[in-house]
Amino acid sequence: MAQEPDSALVEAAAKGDGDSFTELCRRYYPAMVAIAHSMLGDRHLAEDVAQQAFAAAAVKLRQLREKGQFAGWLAAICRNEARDILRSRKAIRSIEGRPATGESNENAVCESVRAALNKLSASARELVFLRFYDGMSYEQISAVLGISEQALNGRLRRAKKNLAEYLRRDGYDEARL
Amino acid sequence: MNEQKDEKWLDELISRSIDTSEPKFDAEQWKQKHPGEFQALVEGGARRPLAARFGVLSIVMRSRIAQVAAAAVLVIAVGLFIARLDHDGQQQGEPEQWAKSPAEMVTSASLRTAYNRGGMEALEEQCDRAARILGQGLLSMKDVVDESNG
Repeated sequence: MAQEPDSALVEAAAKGDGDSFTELCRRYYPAMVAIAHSMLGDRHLAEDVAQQAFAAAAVKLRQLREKGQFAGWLAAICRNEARDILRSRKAIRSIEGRPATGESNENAVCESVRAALNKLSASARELVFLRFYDGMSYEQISAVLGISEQALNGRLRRAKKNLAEYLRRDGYDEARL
Repeated sequence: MNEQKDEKWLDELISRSIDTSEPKFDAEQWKQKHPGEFQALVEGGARRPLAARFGVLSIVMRSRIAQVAAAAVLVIAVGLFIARLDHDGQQQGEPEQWAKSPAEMVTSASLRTAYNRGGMEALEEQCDRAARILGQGLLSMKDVVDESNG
């Protein structure tokens, strides 16, 4: 089953095959966690959001007309779930009048890198997370983003160049680190 | 600084800064956490969703424009139905339906109904019809009106 193409698994899952669906989940779990992580900045929350996205996908799977575009469709569901979380977080913050839990214990370098990542566009940040998460092939990342591997390489290079620039502006460079 | 240096330097930094270890999907735990959704997937395969069973309905449910168009068609259909009911109601008031004899055609109620339906023309037409039944030239409209006013 692990070798089956997405479209065959989606077809079987849409006919009620639970194992095919869980295989799809297993295949795209790292990618969905990476996407949610890039938006929320919280790994544990990202895992919850990815699982919530699978639940929504299970309900809506029969509405998917292009079975071969499952990965991109799932990624869109995952982004929507993460956006819902972001909106509710903002609401809580505005009610309480203070930011969510701080990260004061983390070292300054890591904080600067995360700050630089936050300065990237949402799509560039998502790409960096997808690339650096373990367990994902370029082919899977291409399927999730709906772009060619060549385009993926180009975008990744630009994102990293911007990231390096932001860090240098903040006083970090390879000599100091 | 060249791009290769950037790559190595950054790759290391990013890996240090964010937890990028591979997340493992636990299918059993997920099923326990989302039993309703999983059941919907497994059981839904056996029976098609309601909308899919009806071809037109499934098309309507997919598109927002189709939904609006379907709503408009429903409103027009209901409007036509109501108009038809009103028309039938008016037809019940026509003398042909209930005033069978010339005497009934020229009662004040019957003449009023005819006037309401089509004004003086309808009134005259009804009188003519009554006159035709009784014999041409026997009655004029003036005679009928005079007669009914006593």
